[in-house]
Amino acid sequence: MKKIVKSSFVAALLLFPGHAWATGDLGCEISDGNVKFDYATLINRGIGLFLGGDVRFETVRPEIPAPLQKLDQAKLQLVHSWYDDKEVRLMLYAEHQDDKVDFASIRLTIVAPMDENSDYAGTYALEVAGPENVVITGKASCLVG
Amino acid sequence: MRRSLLPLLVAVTLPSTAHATGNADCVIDEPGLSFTFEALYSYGGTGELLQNHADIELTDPKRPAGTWTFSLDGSALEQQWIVGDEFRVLLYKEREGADLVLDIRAKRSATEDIAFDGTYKLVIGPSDGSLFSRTGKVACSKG
Repeated sequence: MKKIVKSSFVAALLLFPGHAWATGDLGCEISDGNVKFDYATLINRGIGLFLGGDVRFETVRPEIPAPLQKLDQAKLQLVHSWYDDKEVRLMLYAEHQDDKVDFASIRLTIVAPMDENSDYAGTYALEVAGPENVVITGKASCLVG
Repeated sequence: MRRSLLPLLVAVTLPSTAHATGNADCVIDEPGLSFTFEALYSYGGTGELLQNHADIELTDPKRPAGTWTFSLDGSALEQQWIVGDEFRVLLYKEREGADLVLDIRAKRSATEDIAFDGTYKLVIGPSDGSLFSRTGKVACSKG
């Protein structure tokens, strides 16, 4: 994924006839001992519009019921997002219930401010609700190109 | 101008779980610009906005040519971050051959738990290459 110099709401001030906002790629990832996560989407950089998105989420944490340990975008859905020249924010949510698991959910929140290299380096919080309630935290990074 | 809200709890059945919903809104009331945004939001794990609708009346003498009193349906909501003490929405609409972007960012009031105070930035880019923009205050509520 190529890096972009900067994409910002200021870009929205440089509107050209014909709505010539460029599209680009936005991707975020987590890779630590608790969570492996990849998110990739096209974005309209002028207005921060997310155009689709692919999700891969995997964890082996025992507090998380098995049906929620390996997910894609069909199950782990983007419910909040924010992208501008200062930061990338994502919140994804999934829930599950069956005869074995009365109810369980995970909520993954990523907040990644832009650094001096125009990368987005931040943190994540994975909130687990269900048979066990736990919050798992760590580092996350995003790139816009 | 802030509207007082009475929480409207409505059970909305989502694919697998029934979640209660409440009301959320934002208001801009300034000379030259009136704007209201209303939505339901889910009390469940997502906290996302549902069924949103907005009305805008831009009479600013510096506005681009055309009629700028209109409504926006749910498709205009392009970004939302209604998390914790923050209330952010970004709306986008193509109209009169121009692009309209309204960026609202508010934070929870220190004195009223359901209130969020912040600022807006409105940008309109007509096809003639000119640019209209204005900023100001916005008041939002979630209850």
